[in-house]
Amino acid sequence: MPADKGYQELKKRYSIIGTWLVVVGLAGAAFLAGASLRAKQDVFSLPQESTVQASALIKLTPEQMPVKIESIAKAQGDVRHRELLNSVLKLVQAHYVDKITAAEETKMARGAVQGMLDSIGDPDTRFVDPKESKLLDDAAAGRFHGIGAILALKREKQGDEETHKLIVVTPMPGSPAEKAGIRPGDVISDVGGKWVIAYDPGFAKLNKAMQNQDIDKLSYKKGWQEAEEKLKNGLSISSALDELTAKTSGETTLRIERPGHKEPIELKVQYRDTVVDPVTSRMLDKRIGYIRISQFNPRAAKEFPVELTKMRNAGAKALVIDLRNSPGGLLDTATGIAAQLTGGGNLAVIREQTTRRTIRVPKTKAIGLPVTALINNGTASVAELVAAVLKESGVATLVGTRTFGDGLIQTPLVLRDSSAALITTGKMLTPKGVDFTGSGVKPDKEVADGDKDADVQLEEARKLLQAKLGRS
Amino acid sequence: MKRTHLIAIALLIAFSFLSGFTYQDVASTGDISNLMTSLKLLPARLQMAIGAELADSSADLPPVQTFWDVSSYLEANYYGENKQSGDALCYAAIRGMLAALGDRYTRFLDPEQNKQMQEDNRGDFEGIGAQLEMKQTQVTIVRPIDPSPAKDAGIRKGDIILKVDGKPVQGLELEEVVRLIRGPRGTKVTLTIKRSDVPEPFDVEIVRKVITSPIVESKMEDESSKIGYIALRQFNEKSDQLFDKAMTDLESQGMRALVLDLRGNPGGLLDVAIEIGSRLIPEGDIVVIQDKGGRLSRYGVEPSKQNHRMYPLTVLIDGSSASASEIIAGAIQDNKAGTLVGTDSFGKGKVQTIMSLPGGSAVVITTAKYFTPSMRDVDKLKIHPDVVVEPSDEDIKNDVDVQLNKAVEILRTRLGANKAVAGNRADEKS
Repeated sequence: MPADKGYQELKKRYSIIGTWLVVVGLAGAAFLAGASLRAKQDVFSLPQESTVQASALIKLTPEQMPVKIESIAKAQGDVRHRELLNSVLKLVQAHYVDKITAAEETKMARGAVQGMLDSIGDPDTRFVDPKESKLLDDAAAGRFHGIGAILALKREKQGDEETHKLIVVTPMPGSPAEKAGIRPGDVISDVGGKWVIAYDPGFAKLNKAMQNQDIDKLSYKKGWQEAEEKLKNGLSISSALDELTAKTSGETTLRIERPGHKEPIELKVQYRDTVVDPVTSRMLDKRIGYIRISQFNPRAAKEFPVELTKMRNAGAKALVIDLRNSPGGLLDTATGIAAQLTGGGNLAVIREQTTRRTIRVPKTKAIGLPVTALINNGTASVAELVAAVLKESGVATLVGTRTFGDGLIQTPLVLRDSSAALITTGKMLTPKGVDFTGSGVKPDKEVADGDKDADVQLEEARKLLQAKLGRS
Repeated sequence: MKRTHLIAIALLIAFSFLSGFTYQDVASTGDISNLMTSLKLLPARLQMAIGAELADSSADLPPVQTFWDVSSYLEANYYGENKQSGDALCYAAIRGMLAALGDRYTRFLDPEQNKQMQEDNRGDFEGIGAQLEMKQTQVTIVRPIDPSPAKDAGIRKGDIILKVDGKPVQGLELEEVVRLIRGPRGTKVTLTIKRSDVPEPFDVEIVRKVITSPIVESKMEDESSKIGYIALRQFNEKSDQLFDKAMTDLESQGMRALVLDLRGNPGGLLDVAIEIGSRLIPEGDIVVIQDKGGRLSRYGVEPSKQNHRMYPLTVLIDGSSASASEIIAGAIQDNKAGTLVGTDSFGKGKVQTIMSLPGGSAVVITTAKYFTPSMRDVDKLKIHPDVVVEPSDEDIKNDVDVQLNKAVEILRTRLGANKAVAGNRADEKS
């Protein structure tokens, strides 16, 4: 039928026109999309490398609960400083060749905080970017990444030269670091065959050359070249930390300097996640219970009384409290646990900028069991405080080695973009007012660390308790 | 629909997208040659645009408020011995804020640094007369001014300063080192120097004098071939006038070719660079400036400034030739107006403006970028000499200027060749 055929023809033609309209429309939309995407940035501004570097987890977790920036008291500073910073920002916004986006402003704000905190020269007072902020939260909840060790930065000054060393506070229980045999106090000098840049090697060589005038030209030149090579193939401390505390898979080789060992040690370590059970317990024999506190986080506060009751119900007449390789945590948790063992009283003296206060809870009945606490070089921060409280109150005998010696208190100031400023806000002293920062807490009975197969410190603690139980 | 149709449509849409993306560059300048540059930058820009879209925009951090909050908290709560003064904290915050831009030229000058900067710009100062730069954290002599106490004391280009009056300079800012070296005329300063061919560092005692930094130095380098030499040390208001004077002087001695020495020249005023460039390049563009907002402006040769004849030209550059020096070198190279001899230039393709702040401090802000006429990004690529000549340790020790010798040799060859080829019509033009 011709009419029908004409209709079909017409339909076909319209469908072609329609298709073309759609195509042209899409092309137009694509043009506009391209133009608008383009309009949002500057001409010729290529990506710039950020100078705000991600540092990584150094201390386990701050001792104080986070403070939100919105909640702090205002108007304490010098208004001229705010005005000066404001002027600089306004000038940069108006004249800097590239457009300053909101993202750029955030970066600038972080840079300002980082610059300000770095200028103080206190390694614990520092800027924490959102990525590391997440690591800190994870650590506080008992989830560790990388090799699963708590690391610290130690500064040493030799003459004109400052060296920075990456030292192990402690491996966490069950972590790859522990499995590989890493110990508290180990210094990590190389990661994956790369030297962790601890100082400027060229300058060190120059200094040596200056002190020792009789140096022959050839060996001098060779030394200079070696120094340059070393720096070129080095790994910055912040990149090393990034790798060791954030990676979740793969493995690396660490070169370690261990106190008392002449030769460096090479260890293969895996990167993977470690989940730490903060409080564990078991009966060592029919009469002696054992509780290990690996971390003082809110979960530990909840679980400690449960484990303690479990030990009593199992017939424990004496208790070993294991604080070895326990890097600390929240101050409140630590004093709470200490109070359950000592029955309250004075638990710590806190020095802050203008005040000195004593943390005290009403005195009740002490635990009433002979207690031996195990400590070592990896017992740090609030764990050291607990050890000191047990010792000073006469509740426990301390067995092991001297503790790490860090009583400084950090408070995280959480910024609006979930980055944070970690700020040293005080120092813990023992209930009797002894400052253990630097010196650490000394054991009553010195017993060196054993090895995997023979826990000589635990054996000693048990012997002490058996002797006490035998007499009673 | 057939597959070929689909492909054609997809291509059309992609083309439209790209046109939209690059439209602004061409339309804003009306210059179609920007299209190629624009296309070259496309992958990086797309990545950036998409990255910006994906970035978490809910978490903006206002810099002033954040600074104020954190500094207030520090003031009230920081516990430690290293408590900084409020000024120092504020300056550190500003430096950190500017560092986040990732541009090494945008920086803050505290009142003391600002004062010194102003002294530097005045030209006269009291010191030893050596130009310094920071090379891989080493304070290095660019060159001693001639004449100067530094030159008289035997200080050489490339010497590394380890100590000033016994104080190690490692870790100090360049400006701080300069402050240590300067002092009233007649007083003494002792520098501990490390020289590449001397194994042990040694001390040099120098008496300070009033130093006037030279702007232009000139001489007839080759009397027989009549090859003139002009060293341009900086680009300031007097530079073009002094350059003209040197040219006129050399012309009166019958100059037939010119060596322009831009080694160690850190730059200076942009318009002076364009004016001097106009005297050396017959025609063409000198520089392309990109200002805030991305607009590109081409600056060409100014014929009104061409008050001298053009001569066969070689230009000396080295790692201390920066900014305005690189503009001229790049323009000469792109326009084939001369031969560049020496080593790679410094690589500074950004223009700064100093802005004063209340309380005596100042901020230096990168306000523009520049490209050579062929749109080379000097900041990334530097200027490569046409003929690379690097002096050996031996050359430096014996004070032999191999770069200058090469530049003269090139001109001699060219003059010789011209003579041979143009022998028949030697009188026609000259």
